[in-house]
Amino acid sequence: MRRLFALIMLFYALSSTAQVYNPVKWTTSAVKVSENEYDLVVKAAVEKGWHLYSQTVPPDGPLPTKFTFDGKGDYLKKGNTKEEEGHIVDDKIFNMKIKYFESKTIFKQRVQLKNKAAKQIKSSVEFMACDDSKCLPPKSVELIFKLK
Amino acid sequence: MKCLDLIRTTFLCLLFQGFANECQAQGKFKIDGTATGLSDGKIYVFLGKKIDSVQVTKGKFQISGELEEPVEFIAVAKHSDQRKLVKGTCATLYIEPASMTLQLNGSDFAAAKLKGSKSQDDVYRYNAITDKIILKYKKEQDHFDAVRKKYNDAAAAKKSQEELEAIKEEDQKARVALEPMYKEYQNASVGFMKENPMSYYSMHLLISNSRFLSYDEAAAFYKTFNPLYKKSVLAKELEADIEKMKKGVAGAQAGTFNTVDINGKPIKLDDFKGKYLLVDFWASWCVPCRKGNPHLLKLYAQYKPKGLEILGVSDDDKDHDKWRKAVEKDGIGVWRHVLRGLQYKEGTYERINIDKDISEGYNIHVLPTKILVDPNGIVVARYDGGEEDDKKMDADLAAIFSGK
Repeated sequence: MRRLFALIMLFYALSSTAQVYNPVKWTTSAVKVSENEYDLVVKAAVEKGWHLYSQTVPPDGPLPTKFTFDGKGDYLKKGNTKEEEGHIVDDKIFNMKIKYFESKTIFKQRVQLKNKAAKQIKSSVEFMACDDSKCLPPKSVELIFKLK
Repeated sequence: MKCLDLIRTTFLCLLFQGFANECQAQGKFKIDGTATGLSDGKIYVFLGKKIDSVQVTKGKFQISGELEEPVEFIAVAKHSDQRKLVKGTCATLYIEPASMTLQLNGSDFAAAKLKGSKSQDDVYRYNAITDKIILKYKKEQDHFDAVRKKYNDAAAAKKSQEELEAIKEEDQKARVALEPMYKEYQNASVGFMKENPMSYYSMHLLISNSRFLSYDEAAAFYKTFNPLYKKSVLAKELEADIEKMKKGVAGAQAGTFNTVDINGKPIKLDDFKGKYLLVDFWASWCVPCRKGNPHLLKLYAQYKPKGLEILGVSDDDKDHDKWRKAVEKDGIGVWRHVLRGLQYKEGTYERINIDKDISEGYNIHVLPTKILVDPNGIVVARYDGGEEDDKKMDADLAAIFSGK
């Protein structure tokens, strides 16, 4: 039962291939941890040179990565979305410590199913990415976790 | 990673299946395969949204099916789990409705040889060119990777900020040393498209290189392409992208707008008629944008008396306070500021009022992007390529205002 399911986001299909930079690719999986609990795992692959920001950038800094797990309907949220250590820089312009991720990082959200027959959970992530000379405006990507 | 790219192209077909008959059956295909270095068992074929398993018996296997487009992209892989598909475990191939043969090497899937598909023959020809380029810059590439690793190791070991900065500088140099390689890549792509306009692969190359081309160049290439492929989903996507390239580039009419500025005053493009206008697309949260503000202030002080205006268009529709604070902190309130006008339907990420989004009228993809508009409302230049482009902007402004 403890199997991983990966899903390539519709994201690939919806984002135009030309011109638009696409430095962060999202994949999802759901890991069963008990009878009715899952870890929803979101993997972000960040292209060379780009930064994806933490969920906890102080206000007035760059826009943090934000997950929407609304906890309505089929499941309950158990705690916050966990993230990895990442890199922390002391940014002189914002005058604050800013945490970001490079190359690969994983976010995890534990949930408890209210509806045991649920086949999937939908959520979304809003994020921005920058490299040394440019930023991409924030965009939102739908995340779908297949349960089994 | 290359394996994942195919999902993008093949998925599209499925998206459009609901509409019209974009995805009419194009015909059957068959691949007779021989495998070395593989024991009997399964391999996996990714085609569109489907993953099929294929049985290998005594070094032989057969893949067959039906194509919805004249050419499609498939991956033949060692695993069905995409995350396990690292280098050497996956072959990506352009196939056609034909009878083909495939030679597979179990220890290196990427070295697979497909015969009988003209499109894939073209890929091999193109790769032969780029392989030479890769070889030529091997030293620079290895150095770049080494510096990256050094940085990641140092960051993991929590080395001091100064040490990290020093490595970053090395990284920057290593990146610059690789630039001629990318240029050669571009030239190889353009050369290939010129010599092989009928090839399906030329469409793919135009998509990945359009960033370096002007609208006229891209449209001219597209015109020469194979009419047979112009009904494909890939072509429709390409057409839409080329159409967008008309906006915000030299020679184009500047995108019009009619809104209120940061002080609540009405503002429209026509207000700037008779002056040169530098439209600066930025945001409070965009570090590289903020870093450039002192320089913009200098340019403004220098050229404002000669007839230059700057308009800041900010991507801060979500949080006006941040926008106001950033304008104040950076001291850029000397020129006028508006929001781009990005709006979502409440509670969703569905965009509304796209025609009111100033960024749309200039085809903005990255921040900062600066667009220079002449006194008649015609775009003179677009600067969205980092430091080098900033230098070009300085030179352009110096040339425009030298006699004034």
